[in-house]
Amino acid sequence: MAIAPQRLKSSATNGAARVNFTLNGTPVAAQPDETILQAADRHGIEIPRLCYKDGYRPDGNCRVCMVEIEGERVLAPSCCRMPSEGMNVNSTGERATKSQKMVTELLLTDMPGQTTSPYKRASELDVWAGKLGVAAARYPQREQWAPDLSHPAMSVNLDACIQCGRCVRACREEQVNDVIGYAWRGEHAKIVFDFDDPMGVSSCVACGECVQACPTGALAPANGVALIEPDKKVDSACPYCGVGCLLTYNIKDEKIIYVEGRDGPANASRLCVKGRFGFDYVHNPKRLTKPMIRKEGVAKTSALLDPDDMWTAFREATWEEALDLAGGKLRAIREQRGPKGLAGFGSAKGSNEEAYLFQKLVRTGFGTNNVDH
Amino acid sequence: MGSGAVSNQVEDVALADVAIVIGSNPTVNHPVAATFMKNAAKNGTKIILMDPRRSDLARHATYFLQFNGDTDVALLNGLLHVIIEEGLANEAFIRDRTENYEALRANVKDYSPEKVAPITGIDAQTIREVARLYATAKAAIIFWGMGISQHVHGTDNARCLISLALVTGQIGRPGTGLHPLRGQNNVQGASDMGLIPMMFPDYVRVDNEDARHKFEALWNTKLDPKAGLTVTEITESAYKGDITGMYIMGENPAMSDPNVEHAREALAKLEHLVVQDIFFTETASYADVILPASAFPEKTGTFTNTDRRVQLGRKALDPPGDARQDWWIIQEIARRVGLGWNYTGAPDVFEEIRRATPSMAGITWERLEAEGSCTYPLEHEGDPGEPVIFIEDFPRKGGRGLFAPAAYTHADEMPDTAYPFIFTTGRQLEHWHTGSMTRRASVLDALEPDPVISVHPDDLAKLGVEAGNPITLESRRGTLTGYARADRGIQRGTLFMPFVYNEAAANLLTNDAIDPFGKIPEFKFCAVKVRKGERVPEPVL
Amino acid sequence: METIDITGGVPLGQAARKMPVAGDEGRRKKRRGQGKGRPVDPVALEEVRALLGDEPRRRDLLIEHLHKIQDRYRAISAAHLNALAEEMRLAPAEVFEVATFYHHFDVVKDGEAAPPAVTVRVCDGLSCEMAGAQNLLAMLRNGGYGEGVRVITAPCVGRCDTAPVAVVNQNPLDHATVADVDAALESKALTAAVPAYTGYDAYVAGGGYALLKACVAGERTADDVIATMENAGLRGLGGAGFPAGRKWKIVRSESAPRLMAVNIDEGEPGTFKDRFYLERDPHRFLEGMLIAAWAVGIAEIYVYLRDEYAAARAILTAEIAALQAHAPVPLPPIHLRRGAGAYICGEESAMIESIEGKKGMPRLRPPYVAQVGVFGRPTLEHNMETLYWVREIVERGAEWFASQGRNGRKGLRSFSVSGRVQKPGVHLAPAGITIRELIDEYAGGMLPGHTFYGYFPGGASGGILPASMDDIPLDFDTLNKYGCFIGSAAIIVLSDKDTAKSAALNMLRFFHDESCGQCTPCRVGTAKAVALMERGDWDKELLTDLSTVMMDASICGLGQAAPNPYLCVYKYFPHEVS
Repeated sequence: MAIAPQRLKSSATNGAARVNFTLNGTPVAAQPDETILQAADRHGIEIPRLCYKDGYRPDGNCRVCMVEIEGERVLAPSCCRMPSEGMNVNSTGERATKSQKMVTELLLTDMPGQTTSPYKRASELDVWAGKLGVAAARYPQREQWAPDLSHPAMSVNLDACIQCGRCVRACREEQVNDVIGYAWRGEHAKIVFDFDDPMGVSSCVACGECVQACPTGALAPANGVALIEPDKKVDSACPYCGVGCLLTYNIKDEKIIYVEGRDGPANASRLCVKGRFGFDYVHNPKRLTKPMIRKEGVAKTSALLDPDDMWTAFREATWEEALDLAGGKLRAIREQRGPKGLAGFGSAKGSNEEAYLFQKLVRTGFGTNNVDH
Repeated sequence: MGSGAVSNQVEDVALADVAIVIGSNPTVNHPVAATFMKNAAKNGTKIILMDPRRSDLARHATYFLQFNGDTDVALLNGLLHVIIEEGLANEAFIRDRTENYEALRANVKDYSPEKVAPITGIDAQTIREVARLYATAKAAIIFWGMGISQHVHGTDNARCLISLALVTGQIGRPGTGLHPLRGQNNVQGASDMGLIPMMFPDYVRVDNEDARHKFEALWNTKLDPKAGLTVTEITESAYKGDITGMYIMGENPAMSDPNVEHAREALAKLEHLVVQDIFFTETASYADVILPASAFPEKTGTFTNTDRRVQLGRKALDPPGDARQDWWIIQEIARRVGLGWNYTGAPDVFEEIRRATPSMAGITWERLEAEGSCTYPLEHEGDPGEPVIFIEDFPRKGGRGLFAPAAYTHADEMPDTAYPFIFTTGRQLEHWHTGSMTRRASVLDALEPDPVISVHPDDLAKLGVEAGNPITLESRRGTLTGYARADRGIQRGTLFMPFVYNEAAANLLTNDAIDPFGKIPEFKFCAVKVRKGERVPEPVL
Repeated sequence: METIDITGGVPLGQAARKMPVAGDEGRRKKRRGQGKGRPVDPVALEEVRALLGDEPRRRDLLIEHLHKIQDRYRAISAAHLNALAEEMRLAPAEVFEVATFYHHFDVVKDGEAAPPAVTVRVCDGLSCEMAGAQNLLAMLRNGGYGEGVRVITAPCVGRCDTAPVAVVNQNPLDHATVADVDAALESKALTAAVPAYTGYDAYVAGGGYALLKACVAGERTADDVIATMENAGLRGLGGAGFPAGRKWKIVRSESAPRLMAVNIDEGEPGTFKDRFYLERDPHRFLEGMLIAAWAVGIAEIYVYLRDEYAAARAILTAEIAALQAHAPVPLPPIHLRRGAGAYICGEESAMIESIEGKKGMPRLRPPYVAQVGVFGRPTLEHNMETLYWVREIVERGAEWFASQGRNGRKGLRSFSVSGRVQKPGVHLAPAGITIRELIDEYAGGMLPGHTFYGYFPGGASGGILPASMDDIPLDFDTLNKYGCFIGSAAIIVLSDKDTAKSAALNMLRFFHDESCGQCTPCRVGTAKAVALMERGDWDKELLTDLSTVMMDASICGLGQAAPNPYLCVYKYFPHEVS
């Protein structure tokens, strides 16, 4: 007999009572289903965290968020522990701080050069080390893993890996692409793709969720772009499929340098390979930048024209000339052959406003319903 | 049922006990939507995947029905047969909310599981189990994709799915319903906006006189009361020389049309073709005037996703060189055909859309800027929007859902001794549609640079071709050469190819027969023959 | 695409095919023909299907299925692993991480040689090391056995009373010498000899299962039996010491279905009592288990046995089958699960993960196993020995058990005694006995020429005490104030020929090897501790800081207790580190 696992659904919070407990000497109230860390966040009390990522299942493995709970033998991970009524919790006392700092130091010890991440600006480990005042690493460093630069979109530098497993949860629990695992054990436990294969030949679908999840840049977009500070961030949406993922463009010197998933209702900060890594077509040198008019006497055949040869058939024109020709000829056809001689294909990739204008143009300007996409 | 929109949003899969996914490869075509399906599967939702091709979702499915291509109606009628014969139909729902049930019952009588088993390749027991699972679920949802639509019997396929939902009452509640997954980022919005030949904005039929008067008043002009031509019909009309002038904005029929050589000939015959795009696309080869447009990150506008969510895309960059905003270009063309337009930008147009589209009338630009996303129907400002529709009635006269019985028929072109393989097309994860963007995106091109044809390893062995080497395919309409990719998920005797590669355009082979109702071409099924190939041509990019 | 065939070693079936590939061009070519990831080798798939036969492909059977491949091919090739993933509908990474977590699976990657047909494991646990394991290891490694034999070390194999121990494939050699190993290789004695034990018929003839029948027949009530257990004061003998009767009560009050998990992953260095009882009287344990299951209302039972105990596995397999064939009462399903070489799986929640077919990574608590255990169900988890005593306690009454004991303590303890004593072995002695009494009265005194120097009162984790502290009653709770604990009652006796410092390093190396790698304090802490201790000149500040975070912030007892050996060296053997 196989026994079905209990479905772990969060219980309804409606009507459930808030939990009153003491945090660093101050009475606070947690929402039902809220962890100590989340309650602390809401009350403006900052507890360090590394393996914790908002929206992901808390895993409690890094142990940097440890707090002291009165009456308990050992410290507790605030990211996983729910407060109970009357609990007395301390996140800033000597005992908790000692463990928070020691965990940070141990992880910093194993960073390349025992210092800030060379792969990511404002690595979360660096930020917490700064806040906790952990500067020097006193312990001997581990043996380091070699970099894996086999993937065109992402670089893997496990010498900066803190084994927090956010990438595993990203790959396995969020996107459920199930490529990343955490293999072997103990000090040798390693983030792997499939059978510890190079990322570029693994079954990785390059959704980049792991890169977005990695706190240190051990997994990062290729070519060091995570080290660049963008000039601006623009909240937008993905131009590809119908799912409608929301995203943020990171712009430096009028170029998109990388894309991040944004918490949209249809994507919960997730993206796929196209949305995350398929953006530089906009900077492709073969973008059309001038209106063009077919040269006189160049006949049309059904053969395709190589874009590299486009100037053999076309010449540059001003907008005025091109629009006059384009619109004028359409008008002429309508006048000569009637609306039936005209049709328009709008785009299922354009905006609602463009689609609306396009069909309105065809219906009211061409005088026909010959409009489709 | 009277609507083209989804009844429930993708996220409802988490509330469903059972989810049927049919004719869809969501991990490839809707990767992020697929993640929610996989999340749900991990939480106990039973996924029933039905597809001739085994996709990655199969690993997460409770049932995977790898049925023979083209036999959707037989399979679905088999499910309906079991549901009705075993008394699993929702009599109350049928009585209160539907019509024409007797016709459906009579039609599916002939489709016993035992009878459809040899047709579909799915054993009778499995058909029974799946039918029971769907019918008895507390909440069950159906997702489908182009594998349902792109057949000459595509409308029949969809009708069967609608019948499944109606006969079991699996619609109108959270976690139930029908969700045709939308392919392009704004295919929903394009249809909502009336970018289809038979409908004005908000799905008002052009032959509906009262409604037409409304638009005539709004637009201050007389309107054609006759439905226009669809894409394939327009191509055919151009080929015959009836249509001589076209304006094509951001579409690429010279790659995306079936039997594309024929479409290219049609385009070449046009007297006047205006192409508005960001790249010199295949279609641009046949242009008279090419207008450089702006790419997605270069413009601001609203886009409607598969869930009926209206979302804001914001301008992040200026268009390069002398390229212009698309709305501006359309307006300039409009002025030159004699329309006195004077829009100032997307927000201005959106205000008019609200007036033209009652179901979006309550969405304001300000709210979109603040919230980023609003679900319609949202008729009055301040409404929350309606994620689930058809709760009480269907948008037909009388409000009842109509059973439309469908008979099992074959594809237009069946394999035979001369062309023994089934050829089917679709997309692949890294590339988009005709590839005009993605093949020019460096990472995506690096990941999938080559035209590949999925073949079962056993077929490859028979051909004496090693995986990764060229094979040449030939149909009655064209020929191409690409690399053979071994794929144990594809049925023996079937070949799959993405239509993104211009050096080996899959649509050279496809059949331009269309579904008489939906007018959608049969991209998913034609007959080809295969041989060892010589050389794969270089792409033209 | 380049492919390399495995040559040499044991044939890995026909499926030892390879996957490629480096460089952009390699990647491109590979992707053209195969797409992403590793294609499944049809030959390997057939081989795996044949091995698995009709067995369910459920996830919780992953480790069992990996054993089948390992047993058949003496290794697990990438092709087989990939085929297994496909067959079980698991992701390659999930299967790989499980296979590489456990020491007894030899995952052979593309291009790597398969391991030789014979593996000689030399136990390097402390007792074996004291008995010359390193010397034996060196001699075996220079033994000229050639390609067909590999010699490796193994953590404690649970035979400390017969140290040093070498295991040739699955055949353990007690008091092993090179000659013994040669003989075993010569005669191809590669499996465990099953010792004589009390089988089903003999056990029944001796009155066995009468109590169980009486319980099920309603002659006794569950409440009464639980009360007896509570009054007897029997505590969990795996090490944590939770009162057994109270545990039954707690789990019994949880919602059904309730499951039971029996922990026979006896891996604490120095401990071998469970094996001792299993190899003598298995049904006494099984009856206790079934009485507990009856009292608590258990739907299914999982028995998790460490892989090192091959003889015990043979016994349990046969005797559970015999029991099921002649069931004295209707039995709940009993699943015997086989560990795969991971000390951590003796931790109750790690064991549950392993029973579910996963890596043995401990769970965070709360929730406790009694509420959320195997497959998320309320679970009664017990050490095997705890259940072993159930029948006798119920038959003879709580008073009988509670009246045992010495120095103010109650009950009996099965001490696994090893090290520098005349009579190492399992000694059933009164709880609360002191080390001096135990050595003198039960263990035959110190070995000739050895002077008592110190002792581990509770295996690797329980700390080290000096000979001067020889009057402490050995029991639960009595050692806590010294920073030590009795745990599974594994006593390792050190003499003047030993140092606490090297003993502590041996133990830290063990923890380093056995840390699961989940939490930072343990994963990094055990590694840093070993690195610091290997320097010879111990850095007290660094080791002390390390111990603080390990004890306070590790997820489970392994990391929390791992600093105990070196802390005890600082505390009780300061002369060794000054």
